Amino acid sequence: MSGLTLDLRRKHYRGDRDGARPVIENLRLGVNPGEFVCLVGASGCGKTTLLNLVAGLDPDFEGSITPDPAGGSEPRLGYVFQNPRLLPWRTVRENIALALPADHDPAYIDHLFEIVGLTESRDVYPERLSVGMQRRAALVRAFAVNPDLLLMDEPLVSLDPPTARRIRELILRLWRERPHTVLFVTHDLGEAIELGDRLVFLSSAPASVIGDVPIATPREDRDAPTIDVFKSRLRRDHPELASLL
Amino acid sequence: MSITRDLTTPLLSLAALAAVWQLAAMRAGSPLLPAPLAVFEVLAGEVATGRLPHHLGITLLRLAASFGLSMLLGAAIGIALGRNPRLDRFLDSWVVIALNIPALVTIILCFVWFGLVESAAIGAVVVNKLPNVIVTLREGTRHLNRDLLEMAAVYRFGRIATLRHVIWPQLFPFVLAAARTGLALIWKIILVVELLGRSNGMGYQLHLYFQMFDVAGILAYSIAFIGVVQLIEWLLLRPLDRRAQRWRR
Repeated sequence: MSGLTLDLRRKHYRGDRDGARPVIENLRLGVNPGEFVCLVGASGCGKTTLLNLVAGLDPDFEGSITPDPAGGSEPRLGYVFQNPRLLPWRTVRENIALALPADHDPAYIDHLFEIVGLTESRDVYPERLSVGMQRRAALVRAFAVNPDLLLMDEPLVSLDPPTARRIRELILRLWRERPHTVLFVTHDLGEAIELGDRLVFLSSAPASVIGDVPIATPREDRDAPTIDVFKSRLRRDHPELASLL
Repeated sequence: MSITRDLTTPLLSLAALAAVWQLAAMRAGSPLLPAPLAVFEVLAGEVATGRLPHHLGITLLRLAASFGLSMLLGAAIGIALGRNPRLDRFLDSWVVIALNIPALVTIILCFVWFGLVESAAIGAVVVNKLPNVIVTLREGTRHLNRDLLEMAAVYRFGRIATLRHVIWPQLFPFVLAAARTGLALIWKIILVVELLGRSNGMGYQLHLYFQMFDVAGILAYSIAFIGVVQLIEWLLLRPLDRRAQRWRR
């Protein structure tokens, strides 16, 4: 498990005209080890950019990202991208095998396939699966590497509600089996309240933290009415977040 | 889908071509356009004496050497240019010039500068084919999927696995396209090279028949050559193509 301290002063894309608005500005955020943090913000506010910075895919920014404890070995990453990003020319099983570190546990991989319901489809090429199944395969890959830090970028967007609910339950189940730090990006407040330990609200671009709300309710008790109550309390207590609620 | 049905149409079409040829030959009634049967008799004779297999073999060896060299070199340069925009901007005009030098010019220059030797012959073919491969592979490299490369980086595939499982499958169709057009180009150029500066091979033989105005000989050698190129396409390129496509929906 690995915590995280973000201190991002400024990020903008090269090739933008001079003086173009940065994507991220003065974003500070501390994440505790094992915490499930939901990042909520409007689309286009720079959430994906933020995750890419944390993943180390984009070294071109001002500021620092420090794993906690600092100086330890680099945390192992799982990343569920907005699109499944499976190699179309490799079967589902091969896709996951390629991502696995040497010290993985084959029984755990089988177990993962089992609980997401892909055991039958392991030897199929991804393009022959439905998008929902591809997303589940991408989830298996992220959990299979046994990550210290799991990044999820709207993994449930464009899924029908029953499938989305099933996958939400799967994510929680897998996370409980092997706890790790999670950064979960979404624009769906209900989803965030159902999943997170903590909600972090981001402003529209340039992104910075404009609200940080812990959720004390145990996850078992977060049914639809409770979530609605939580939402209306948020509205009352945090008028500054109105645009996001 | 049966093989017989697959073959019916092309066989019918070939038969029609032969019929047209036969009719034309009958009308012309001249040794300058021999009938199909006469050509096949010459072909059989040349095969029996071993002359045709000998010259064809030599040409195929040259073809293999120049094809292999130009594919390897062209792929290396093309990938380098595709990955490095600054290098690409600098060398782009070189590539354009190389693409536009007439094949005959490079062949003559190679023979003038390096003499009428085997390496000059193969070099001339390689220089002709190279820019074509470079451009195709550069295009393929530019279109590599960034999403998948990022995924491979996050999951620490490592260099070799990334190359083998992420990059190569994306470049493969471009390699195949370069191989296809390359083969067609090389086997046309190689005959000119042989005609100008070698004393064996198909090009040399064709030149000989040209001086003797032996059209039957010229056609016989052409048919043998076309047959071999088709075999390469059917037995090598098509199966590779199918293999590369099998994951598609």
